[in-house]
Amino acid sequence: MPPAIILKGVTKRFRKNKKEFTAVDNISLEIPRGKIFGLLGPNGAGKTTTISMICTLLTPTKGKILLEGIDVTKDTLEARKRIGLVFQETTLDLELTGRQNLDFHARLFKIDNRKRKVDEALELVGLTKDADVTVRQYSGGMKRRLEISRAIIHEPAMILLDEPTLGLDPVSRRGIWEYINMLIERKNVTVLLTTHYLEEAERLCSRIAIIDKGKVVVQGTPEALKAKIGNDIIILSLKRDDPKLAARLREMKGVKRVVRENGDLFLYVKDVDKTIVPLMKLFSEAQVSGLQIKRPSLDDVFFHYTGHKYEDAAEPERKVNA
Amino acid sequence: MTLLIDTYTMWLREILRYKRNWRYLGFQFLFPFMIIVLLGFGFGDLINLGQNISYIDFISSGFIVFMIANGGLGGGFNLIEERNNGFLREVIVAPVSRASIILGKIAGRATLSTAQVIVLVLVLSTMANLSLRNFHITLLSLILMTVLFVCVGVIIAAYFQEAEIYRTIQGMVVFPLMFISGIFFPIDRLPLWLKWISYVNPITYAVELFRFSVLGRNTLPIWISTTLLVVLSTSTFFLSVWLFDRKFRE
Repeated sequence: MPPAIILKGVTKRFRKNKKEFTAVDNISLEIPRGKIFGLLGPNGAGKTTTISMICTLLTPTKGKILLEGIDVTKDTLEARKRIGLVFQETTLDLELTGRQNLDFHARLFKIDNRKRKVDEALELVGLTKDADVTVRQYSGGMKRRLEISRAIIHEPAMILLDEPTLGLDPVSRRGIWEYINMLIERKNVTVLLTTHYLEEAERLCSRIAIIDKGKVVVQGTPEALKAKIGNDIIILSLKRDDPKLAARLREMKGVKRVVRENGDLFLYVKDVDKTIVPLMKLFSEAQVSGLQIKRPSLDDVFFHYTGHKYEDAAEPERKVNA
Repeated sequence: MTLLIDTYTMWLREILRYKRNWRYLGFQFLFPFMIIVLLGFGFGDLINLGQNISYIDFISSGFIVFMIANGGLGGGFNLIEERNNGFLREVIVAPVSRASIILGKIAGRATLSTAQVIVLVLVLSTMANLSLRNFHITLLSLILMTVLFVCVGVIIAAYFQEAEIYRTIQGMVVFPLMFISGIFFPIDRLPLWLKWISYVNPITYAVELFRFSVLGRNTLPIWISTTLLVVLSTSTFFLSVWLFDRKFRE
């Protein structure tokens, strides 16, 4: 089966105050059917711009976007029918009730059995009880759930979620994750979501693409990405900075990479069990105040591929010692 | 066919919103009534229009036009609000034509205006010479006006993001035009240069047609006002649809 979404060399440039600014820079992606695909990246990386182009809200400056083979710039109306959307900011009518919002959406998409579909959608996200309350009175989590249920009411082949849990508390966030997982199981749709929460990408997505400064830095399954940078990380907290020790560790067998940061040494090793004993012989208690073993996270993946830490992505000029 | 269905959907939402907002609705009926009574009886003795017409007849037929026009512009203002609060995106990414989005706004507004006109004319007919005898012409003028003003509102909203600027334009361009359109005083008494402005002012023809329908009075041949209004409202409609597609997406 062909992929659900194909992006071929997609670029978006904006003109702002006579200056050209490239928000999305030649992105090519293939998003497989029936899976949750995550676009991960810091704020301003170009995730929302990418989603906006896929959902026809923006026209790409260059490149091609195909949804199940449909060119979004040529057959816009057909493309729109295939997408369910949840934007970063709410697009609900706050003056109407939850049910009225869904009914309006169902009418816009001209679906059959409107009433039953609306009831089902409300049921699915647990809003049956509050269906006839104005949305203005909903909590942030309830609004997001209503938007998710609205996105699936016209049975789209794919659902695009732009930062679906932004601004939600941890409990609501977990709730939204459950609903997204349920969608995949019950409705057999393709989900493309953007997030700047590493944990979210790790928990939900079966494939991710890391985006930084408008470009896809790397993509793959979270496990594969983590495996690429070494299976484990040993962190040594040094009492004082010691370049010689770092140099010696770098030459050790099984050590892939050594990174020095803020007095800590990060050792990316193939197999921690085989490395740890010989490693202990290389330093004394006087040099090291602590030792930690960590399995790599997406944070480390991001760091590995972009050369800057995830939280620092907004200020990419910062140099990191290595 | 789909155009009609989509327009109906958009219209339905406007009506649901009105129904949920009783205070707004009440104000829509009370405010024009209050102004007409205050102006009509306040200026009634000071202004002598001659020709067997009292000022209350004149101002009530005129101010209803003011009310319809303002309400129509409010439709455009509404788009700025809906863009700012995010709701517009839901409509823009739906598989519906841009024309139906604007037609829905027009239809919603026209429904409210029709209700307003019926209630106001019936209530005012107890104290002025208004009637709904020529209701088909009343309805025609009301629809043409609503199309014209909602679309002017959309065009303004296409170029400006902020509610404040919209209000400024409304205050600096639209209100002055209303004053020299025969709403508050007859234009035949204006100085010549103002008279000429009032003849290129579309509101003048809306007032002409509406006043003819409820009061049976007109200063220009009715076919001229009607033709001008039809041409103006259809061309602003197509312009607003075209602009909406270009300006509201990015």
